[in-house]
Amino acid sequence: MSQQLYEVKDVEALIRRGDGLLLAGDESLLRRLPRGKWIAGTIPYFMTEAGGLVNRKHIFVNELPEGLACVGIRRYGEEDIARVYSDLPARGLGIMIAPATSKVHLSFALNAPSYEKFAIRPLIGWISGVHLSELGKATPRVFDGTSGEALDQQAVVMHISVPAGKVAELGILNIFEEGEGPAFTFPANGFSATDVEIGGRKRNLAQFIQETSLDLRLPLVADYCGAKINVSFQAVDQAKGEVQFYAPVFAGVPYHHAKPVADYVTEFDSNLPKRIDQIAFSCNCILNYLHSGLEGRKTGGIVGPITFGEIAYQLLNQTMAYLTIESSQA
Amino acid sequence: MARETAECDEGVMQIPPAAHPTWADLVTGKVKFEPSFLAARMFIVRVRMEVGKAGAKPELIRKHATGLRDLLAQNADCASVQQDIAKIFK
Repeated sequence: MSQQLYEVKDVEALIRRGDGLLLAGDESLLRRLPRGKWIAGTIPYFMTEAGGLVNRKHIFVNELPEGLACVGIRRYGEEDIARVYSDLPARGLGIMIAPATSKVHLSFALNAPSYEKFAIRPLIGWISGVHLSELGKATPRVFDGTSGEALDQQAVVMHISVPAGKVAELGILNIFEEGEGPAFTFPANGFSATDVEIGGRKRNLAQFIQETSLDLRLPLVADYCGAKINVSFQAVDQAKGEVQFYAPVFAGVPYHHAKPVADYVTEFDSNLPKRIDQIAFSCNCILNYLHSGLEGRKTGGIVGPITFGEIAYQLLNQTMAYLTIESSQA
Repeated sequence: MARETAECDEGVMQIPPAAHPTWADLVTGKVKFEPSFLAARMFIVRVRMEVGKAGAKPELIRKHATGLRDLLAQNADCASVQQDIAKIFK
């Protein structure tokens, strides 16, 4: 199983071999690829064995581990993404890529936990993006390799079969922990908020951020039965009194502003999963790449695309998501 | 779907039926338990929000208790699920 950057001609050869491939790279390179069993998303940032880097001349290729096979590729729009879990193959898993800010991205982010059969089988993936210098100019896209089409309003999902004796499991590595400040609770689910409860008092969140000089590089963190789930700040509009997030907040869930992290890589390395040699796929967040200065630095040998959002059953922020394939315990 | 669940039940690990009261207690939060299995963590948080909003109607709790049981049964060959089941029903 290979997880590295390739020249386009080498990716073409891998596609023609007929194996299932998970790809990430610049749109102009992905458009040159032949049809086959692959899905892709646009992004020029990667964690590689050489460290974090920006590369617009190569495609990041994630081959499937031995024994796993692509058994289909599906596309979903806003209107049918709710079926994503119900459609996953028995004894299998799905790998999903959705374009950033598309309707399907926003719908999945808000509603995935309420989908029929939510989390009944593993669903991992990422949100495609663009070079940060092209935000608002270029459009994030995904590719359905069976037709070679580039899509900006649909998600692609590769269905993957897992052989008998093996089991797929998802994990997340989030170095952020809840700080000791007040709890934030939101009146409604959504990607933005105005008035919220802070420490039990109704306050305008934008105003609170200004008054307290809250460090917006640190996410809000919620405790999901022991799993730390982040919501990252995107922008604050003081004139409107509105704060926007990269992932939705959920009503009724208490969030805390994260504790500061001295050094991301040190924290990351000390929290690495036990069996990193069994990681079949992983991705990490562009905000970790930016705020933690991952360019040129290594994260414990874990490689993959740097993304505009991570999916491990539901949308995540500022988190590494990973898939392991291990021997079954049954 | 039912066949897969049955296979899990007939395998090494026995998973108590959905009617076992512990499933409902997990859904309502009466039993405080932090699963190792990531999907169970996310599922429990989501259904507790729903159960809280709806006033904990018995049929809703039963539905989610069955859902939680199915989630673990369908993933019963994961080491983390086996650890969770062993701890929940020790």
